[in-house]
Amino acid sequence: MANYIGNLIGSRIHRVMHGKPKILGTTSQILHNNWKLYFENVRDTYHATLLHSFFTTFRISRLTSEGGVDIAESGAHHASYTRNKVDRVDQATSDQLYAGIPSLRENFRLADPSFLAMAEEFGDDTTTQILSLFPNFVLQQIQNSIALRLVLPKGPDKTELQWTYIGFEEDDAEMTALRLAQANLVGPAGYVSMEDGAVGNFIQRAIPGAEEECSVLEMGGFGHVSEANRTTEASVRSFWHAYRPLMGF
Amino acid sequence: MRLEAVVRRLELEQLYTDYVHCLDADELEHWPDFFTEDCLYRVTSAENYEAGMPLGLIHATSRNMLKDRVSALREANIYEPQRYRHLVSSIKIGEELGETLDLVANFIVVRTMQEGDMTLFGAGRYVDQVKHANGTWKFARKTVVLDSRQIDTLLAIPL
Repeated sequence: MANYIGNLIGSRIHRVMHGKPKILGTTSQILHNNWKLYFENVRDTYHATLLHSFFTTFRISRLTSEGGVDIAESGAHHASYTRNKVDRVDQATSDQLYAGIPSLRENFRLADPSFLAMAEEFGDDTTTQILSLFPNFVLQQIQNSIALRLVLPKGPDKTELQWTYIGFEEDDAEMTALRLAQANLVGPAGYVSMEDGAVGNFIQRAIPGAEEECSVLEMGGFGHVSEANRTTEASVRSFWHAYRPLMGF
Repeated sequence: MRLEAVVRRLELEQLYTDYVHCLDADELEHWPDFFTEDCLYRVTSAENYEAGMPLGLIHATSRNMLKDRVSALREANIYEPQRYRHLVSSIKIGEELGETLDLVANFIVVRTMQEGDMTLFGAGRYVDQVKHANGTWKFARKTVVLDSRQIDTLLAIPL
């Protein structure tokens, strides 16, 4: 297993799994799309701040923050990360750059934003990390919310996404409360993740009738190696790089 | 049944009636008014609930967090237009303890999407604690326990 995952992605699992895991609860989400559409969503480092208002508006993750994507040599696994306390540009410039992007809701404020405060936990400045292992496993760290996601194909256009939310045995009551509060961001009702439940089906519905069509967008070139930014589809390409030979395509 | 008990039951049935009409009529801005300020609102599955797992798919520890849920649905989140139809029945009224009262009520929710697709979206029970204040009952705790662990597509509108 360690050989399959490799050191680059393995070390990114280790930084999240720093204690003895404790399950906080589970859920399952039925997606009406092919499993690969969901996996592409996970591997796509670019859509998050365009689609998810919570990421952009509350500066949880922006492309103007430091961040990047690590891709295993095989292409099979990936980890994208944000270090949102380290801005590449100042806040005003970041707001300017996002000004025309609908996901930034300038006037949207929370009455109780306390759950968005992140507790120091990982001993580094990575605030969000989305990691995938080929073909169907995801480890998510969004602030202090940690979840495992298993992507299970249920047919050509149906997928079950199983969520397991965890904390650690070492957590005190305050940390558990924070993880439960931040779980509002993810899962089927998550301020961020609910949108991922719907977008795959939007694409699935658009496919019939356009099966002979194709479009190619070479965002970030056509390589599939690690990059020190997330304005790229390198980790999406790396998925297909790993998938194609296995399927004989 | 004593007359006070009959009145009490009618009051509580009215509370659930008003609650589900508020949600089904898309009057979400009034939804937090059904709760006390320091309420606990949680949506979970029977599996989590019975195993004592604390996770909530929606997990709010104040009325303000409920208001935020509504403003996020109105202003921030992207999801397809949809509506719910709640049916609540079999309200089981527990012992009164001071100002509070424990309740369990069954519900089913049918969800209809903008194109007309209709599904039985959820069935389960409300495990609630209500509190009497200023002549009305408010939810101090509401745990929405869904019988199934599966959520179809997403859970946007509260239950």
